[in-house]
Amino acid sequence: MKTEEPINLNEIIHQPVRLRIMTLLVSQSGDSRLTYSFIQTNLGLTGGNLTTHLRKLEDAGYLQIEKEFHNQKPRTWIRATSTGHRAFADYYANLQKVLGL
Amino acid sequence: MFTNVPIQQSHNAMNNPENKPNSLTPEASLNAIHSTLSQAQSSMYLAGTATILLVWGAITSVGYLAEYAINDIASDFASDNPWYHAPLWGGLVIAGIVASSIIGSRASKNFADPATARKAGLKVFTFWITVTAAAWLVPALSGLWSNGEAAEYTAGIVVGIVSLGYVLFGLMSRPAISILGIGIAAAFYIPYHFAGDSAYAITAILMLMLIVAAAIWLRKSGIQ
Repeated sequence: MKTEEPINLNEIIHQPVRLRIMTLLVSQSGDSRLTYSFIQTNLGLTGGNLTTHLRKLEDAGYLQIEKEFHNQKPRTWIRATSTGHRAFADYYANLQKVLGL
Repeated sequence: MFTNVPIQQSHNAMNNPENKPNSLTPEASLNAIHSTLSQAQSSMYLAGTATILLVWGAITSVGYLAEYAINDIASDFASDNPWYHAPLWGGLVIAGIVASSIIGSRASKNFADPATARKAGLKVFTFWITVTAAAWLVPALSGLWSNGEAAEYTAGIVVGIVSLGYVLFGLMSRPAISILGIGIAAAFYIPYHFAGDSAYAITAILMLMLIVAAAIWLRKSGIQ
């Protein structure tokens, strides 16, 4: 009997909110970053929920959070790290394998 | 960090919403990736749209109120100088384009790095410049701007092209903007055909109401 080969899906990314956060970040060209408010508005998340997921991704080394002041107002920027880009690329490749694409 | 997810297990996970990491099926993951990408792209295109719409609401209302005033109060001037529509609307449109570019550019910098913001802004700018150029050139090349008899039809053609622009932009970003395009056409053509001399005044009021409603809806959707 032939057994199905297990496919590795990164469980940090394989979660509805974190998958969408990573998608937003890795879709930016090069080293570009997005603001916290853009991610929050786009994904329709509460601040607390977004912060929890960002922290988990930051702990995994997938993103970097930078706080800056613009016109004396605080602004939080998020960018995917090279580790995050690679992890997402692997996740996407595995997803395609699972779906037989 | 990595979990072995056999295909069968992953599909069964649909029945287990509490199991967060696996609660996403592979199909749902792929759909989430595509929908997030498309939503993010359209949000970039819509930077500053709520404010820009209010600016255009004010501009079109001023334009139609001026048309109404010129036709009603200075009818001799209007009949002697049928070309007055061109400088009137030309001046208003140029002011609108400059204001929209500044608002859009500032708003997009609240979203992303200048390079990303510029890329999205350039696409939107090119789109609307094309629509504006078409709205200007089609009547001009048809000889409508300089033909006194036909000049009154020019506004109808311009509004038609601009409405089509909104419909297409809505298809690129948010379908509700397409509905706004249809509303703009209705706000012009219905009074034009049925309201007689007060058509321009009614159009001015309807356009302003429509655009304010759209701007409020956009702000409620989280788009500034």
